[in-house]
Amino acid sequence: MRTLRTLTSRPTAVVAIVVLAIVSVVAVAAPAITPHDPLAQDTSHVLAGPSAAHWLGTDYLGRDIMSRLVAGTQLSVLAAAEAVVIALLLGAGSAVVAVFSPQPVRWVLERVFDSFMALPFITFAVAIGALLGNSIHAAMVAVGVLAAPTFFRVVRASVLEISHTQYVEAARLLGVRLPRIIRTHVIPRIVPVLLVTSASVLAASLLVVASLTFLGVGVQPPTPTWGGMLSADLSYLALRPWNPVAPAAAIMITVAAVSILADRIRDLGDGTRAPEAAPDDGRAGEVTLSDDAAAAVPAQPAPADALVAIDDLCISTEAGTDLVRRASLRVPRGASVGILGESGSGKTMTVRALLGVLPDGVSVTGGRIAFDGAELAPDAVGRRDLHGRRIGTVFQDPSTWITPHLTVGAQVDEVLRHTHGLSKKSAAATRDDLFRHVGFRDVQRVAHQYPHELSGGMLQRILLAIAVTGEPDLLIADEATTALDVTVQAEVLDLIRRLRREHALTVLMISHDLAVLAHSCEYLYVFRDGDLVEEGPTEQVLHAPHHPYTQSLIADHAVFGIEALRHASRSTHTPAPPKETTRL
Amino acid sequence: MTTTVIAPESARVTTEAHERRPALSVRGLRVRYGSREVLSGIDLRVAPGEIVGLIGESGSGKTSLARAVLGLVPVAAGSVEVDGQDVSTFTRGRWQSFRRSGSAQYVFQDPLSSLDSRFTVRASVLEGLRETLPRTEAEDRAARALRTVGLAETLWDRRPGQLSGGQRQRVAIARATAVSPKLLICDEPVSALDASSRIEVVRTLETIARAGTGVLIISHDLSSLGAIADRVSVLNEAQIVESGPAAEVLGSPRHPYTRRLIDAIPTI
Repeated sequence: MRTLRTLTSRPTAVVAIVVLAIVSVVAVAAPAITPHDPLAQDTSHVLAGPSAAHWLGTDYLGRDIMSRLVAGTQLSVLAAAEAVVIALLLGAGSAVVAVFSPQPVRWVLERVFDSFMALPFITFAVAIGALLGNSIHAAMVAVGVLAAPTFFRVVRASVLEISHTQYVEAARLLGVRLPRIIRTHVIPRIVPVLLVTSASVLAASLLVVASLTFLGVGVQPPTPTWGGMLSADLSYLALRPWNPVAPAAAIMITVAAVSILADRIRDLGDGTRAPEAAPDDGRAGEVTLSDDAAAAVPAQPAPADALVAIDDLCISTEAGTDLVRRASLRVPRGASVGILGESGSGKTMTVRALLGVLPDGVSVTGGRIAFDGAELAPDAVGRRDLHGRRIGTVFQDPSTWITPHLTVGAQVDEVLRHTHGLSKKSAAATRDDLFRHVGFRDVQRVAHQYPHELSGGMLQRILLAIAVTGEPDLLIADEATTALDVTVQAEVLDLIRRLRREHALTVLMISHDLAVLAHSCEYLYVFRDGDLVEEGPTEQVLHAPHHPYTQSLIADHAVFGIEALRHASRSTHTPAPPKETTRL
Repeated sequence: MTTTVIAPESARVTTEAHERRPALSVRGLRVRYGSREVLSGIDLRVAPGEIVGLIGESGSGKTSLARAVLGLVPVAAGSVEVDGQDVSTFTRGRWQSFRRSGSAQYVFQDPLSSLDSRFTVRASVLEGLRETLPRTEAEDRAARALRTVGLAETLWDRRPGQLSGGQRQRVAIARATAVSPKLLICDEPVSALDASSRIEVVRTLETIARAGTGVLIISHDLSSLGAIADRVSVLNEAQIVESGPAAEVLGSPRHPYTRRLIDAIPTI
């Protein structure tokens, strides 16, 4: 129901639906609404122009064009629909069978449909017409068979994707039988694909039916069809140049309406899938922005010792959902500050507001953000020169921040040449230094590797190298070690600590992992559901937390954390002194 | 490679549990992908009611081990017994009926991917049961499984998108346990979850094990699971380098790799 309402909110979709409704009504009601008998000949009025009696004139046998157009609707449209049904059953059915069959069956089906695609459309239809008798159904079987590969390929791709999902694997591990898996998991998901493909095949079939009757295949005169009329009228083009316009327009308008509707339905499919994919941060993507509230707050100079000063920051979606409520944070110059919170707590939104890269539909609705004493405008415009130069950033999944088809060396060079204006040669030299700096030994080999050849930890080190090239004041690490193995995480955390010391960096770390922050930061902020619930020096937050939420996090850690089992190793292993340990 | 095997009596689980037919018994398991051996002679045992943690980092072979036990990758050598049946020799058809009997079940890392977003909680849990049971009986069992994992009845008609991460993972656990498996394999069951959800899932797994199911938890980071595991095995480069009671392995690791792994876990 909701989808229908969304669909009708698009004007083009409404026009397409109205056109198709009219076409359907005309097709069904044709015998009742034709002004004249479509087969009645009137040799005294051959090839007449439009008149009150004959709105679109008459054809070469004196038959009313308007009546023939109306009467031809049913056959033209039904024939096209018949072809679609045949193509769908044959193509989509085989695709589902192919995906869930053993290799030989799949191979044969794929080759058969590939070879269908090589057949010339019209010639094949003419041949089938000759073979099965020259009826409209024979022609439509031909069209259906020829359109089947379109369904096969599209549906096979979707089903293949679904067949590899974990929920299908889970069902198989539960011993659920294949037909049931197909019925419950697969078919409901390919319906949008089937609809869109059907619409485009229907449009193509209308044209083919027209072409075939134009060629005299499928339907015999005097039965009126749009294609047949077009064919006959074209013979008299010199005498009556306007006569073919009506059937041609009928074909084109119907095809256009079907195509538009198909496009809109596909857009709809895209739109409804998106929110499912990320319900955890679904709040982020709700609607669009209002920017004015931030300007209303009177400006105050931020304390000079804080590199970042955020006061009473409010972030909301246009729908009015508050993502961050009146949060105030300080990141003193040279300090290492951590922001702790779960997904959806507002920690990432706060940092994105600082960077000026809030997602669409989310905006700063109050408060101030100052960097190095200067207040930042609520939009991103004034911030471009901060990125890369004064603020370096690393994020969670390093592989998504690197282009897969370029070597990592080429990408780092590009950054160096762009931000530092270095020549090709000096960029390469600087890059080698950087790679050595973040702990690579064979820097030449690394530079010539592609991202997929490097591990997550290596990529994160490269991104850290890029982040510090501009000698920024502030390094922001947003869940920078979350996707890494624990030993790799330890290496990356060590690297961040070392870079911090060597570059006099101020570090802002964002994480859901209390232990990671406790290990690396001097001061912690804790977000929960958009509120800043706790802040203080790390020791104080860990040992004397105020807020029940922080207390529960720490209590849980004490019960389930590694610490409970670790005391034995304490005697032999000094726990790493929290701040400045470096493994070189 | 030193392999430390600790005698069962020092484990937290009673020896009585070990005398029963093991939920899982893996001996000399080898798995190869082409010429690369991803598991080279693995021995592992999970008794009914026991929680065994298998620690390993990316590429250690831990997921291949789970997939070999479940018949998703072929076994090159060795034996894999689930509830006394050697599954390494199963044919395709035999697997199908074995799965329908529900002996070994699997819980994926991310419930958002492993649950069909169109299915309600109830429908997800019913899915496996409806293969073998009539409707009313299946519904009874589904309800029992959902109550065991502590999901309130008001949530049963929701879809995954309307649940928290921890609730979703508990649905996945209920789906797996509803068919009364002897062995439950969980691959990184909490690493996709927030801290507060982790605890509820960890507690749920503990409940499941105490009711008699053998639970094998596979993870690169046992920092939140260490406390509930009875025994722990450490997998590194296709081999188990250390195993024993969780408190001993995690508290005083003997193998250098285990030591490095545990030292890498940040503490508070």
